[in-house]
Amino acid sequence: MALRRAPDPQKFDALVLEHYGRLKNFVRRYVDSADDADDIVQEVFVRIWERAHEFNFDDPLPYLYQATRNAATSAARKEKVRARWRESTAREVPQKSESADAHTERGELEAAIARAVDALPERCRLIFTMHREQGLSYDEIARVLGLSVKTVDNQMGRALKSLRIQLAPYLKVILAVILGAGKMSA
Amino acid sequence: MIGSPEPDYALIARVFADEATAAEREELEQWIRKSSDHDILVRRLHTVWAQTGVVIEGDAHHALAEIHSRIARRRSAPTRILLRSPYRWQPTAWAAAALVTLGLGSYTLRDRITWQRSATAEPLTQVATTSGQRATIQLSDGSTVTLSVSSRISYPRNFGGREREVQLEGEAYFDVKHDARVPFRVRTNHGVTEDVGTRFAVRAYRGEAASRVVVAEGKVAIAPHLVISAGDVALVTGTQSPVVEHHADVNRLMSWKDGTLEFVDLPLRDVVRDLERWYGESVKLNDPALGNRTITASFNDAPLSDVVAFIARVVDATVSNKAGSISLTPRINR
Repeated sequence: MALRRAPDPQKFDALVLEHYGRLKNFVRRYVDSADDADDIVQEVFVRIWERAHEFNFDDPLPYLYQATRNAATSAARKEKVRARWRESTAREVPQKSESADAHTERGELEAAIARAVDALPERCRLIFTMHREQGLSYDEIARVLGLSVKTVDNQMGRALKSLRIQLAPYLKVILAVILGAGKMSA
Repeated sequence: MIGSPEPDYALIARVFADEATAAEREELEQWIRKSSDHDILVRRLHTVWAQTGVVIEGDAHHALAEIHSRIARRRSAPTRILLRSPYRWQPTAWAAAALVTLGLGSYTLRDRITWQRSATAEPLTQVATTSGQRATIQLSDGSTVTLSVSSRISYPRNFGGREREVQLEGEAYFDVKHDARVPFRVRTNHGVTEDVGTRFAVRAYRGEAASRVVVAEGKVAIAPHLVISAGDVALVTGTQSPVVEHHADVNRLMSWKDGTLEFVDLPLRDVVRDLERWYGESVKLNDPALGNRTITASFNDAPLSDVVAFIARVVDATVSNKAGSISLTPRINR
């Protein structure tokens, strides 16, 4: 075994504190269980500690995401049964769009929005959720995925448009909710 | 929205995302003021947008403490790797299965009794490694075990004075403190290996047709009347009599314990399975014929990408690594 230097503990801790939550949110897109997600992300950081000599602390996001994604997809493969179950239940939820009316509960709207996000094309969803669920800036997303900021920008626009189309029947309800909550200033 | 031009969704997203310049924000403001439909649309979209934001969860400080304790565990005390709660074997079923495969009719009763006794007397400790991990375990009798990657061993915290028995799935190297009165036995799904005081390794991964016993020093009984000694390698299956090879290169077969990944004339399909155990990532062969090619190589602490690149050169294949999944494809023009 080659002699390896331990990483700078302060740098390492700062790295964990900054990125832990977002990576956990990222993993939650692949695995259901919060405990499994914790386990996966913690192992990613343990590996970084062990291989600190190979890790670029100045530009950590690309590796963090690549490693986390690998670990999460392999964990998800192992949980195929659960994933299949999740898929089937997602499909079974009735598309109530036509009958959605003013007293539709907010919970149902949330569920519809979550489904609409899940239904985005893969790359589009990845980019959208990296921004919305993991708090990455356009620039950070572009660097992690090796894309231009312009592409990220386009995909974010596409996501929004697609959400609007998919949620069209619900949007009427949303208006009702807004009006009910009082008119917002222009 | 009749007659309105298509909204600039990217611009709207940019403003929502706080990625817009002041000029772009102003542009959107003006567009909104043009029509109440625009206003309503942007409000609706913003409601949707707000719903998609997930609060970043997870207590990062707590997680940090967890990560440091994992690091400490792994560095200082390998015996504590993935230590699971003590659990008990199903003694009768196991003993019966193992003994039938070895055909040790007369041993049956005694073994059942000892299994039951050890199961009730002392809960077993289990140590498991994942891919890329090895663990060294000190047993209560002073013997040491080096557990290879993706392996699992169970043993009583205290052997007591009458017998020493461990259960192995995967691969392990044993350096056994000799005690003629108390034999040391390794049970695998292919049978029982009984030590007569020695250094030896047992390999019995689930899904492999045979288990392998390699002896570096001393003597080992792999069946009641079959004793092999230093330099011997035995392949043991559940159904056929063991195959023994003498004067084998035992050091090579045990080099994994020093961190060397060694393949001797091994078909590629077995090589990739070992790589998976070692690195925790799967390597796929896009042509089954590749699986028959044999590899002889040794790697010391090399990254997976180097190992795969080397193998690809040997078998004349190309490597693709898409979305973290590695695969080998034969070159068409040989």
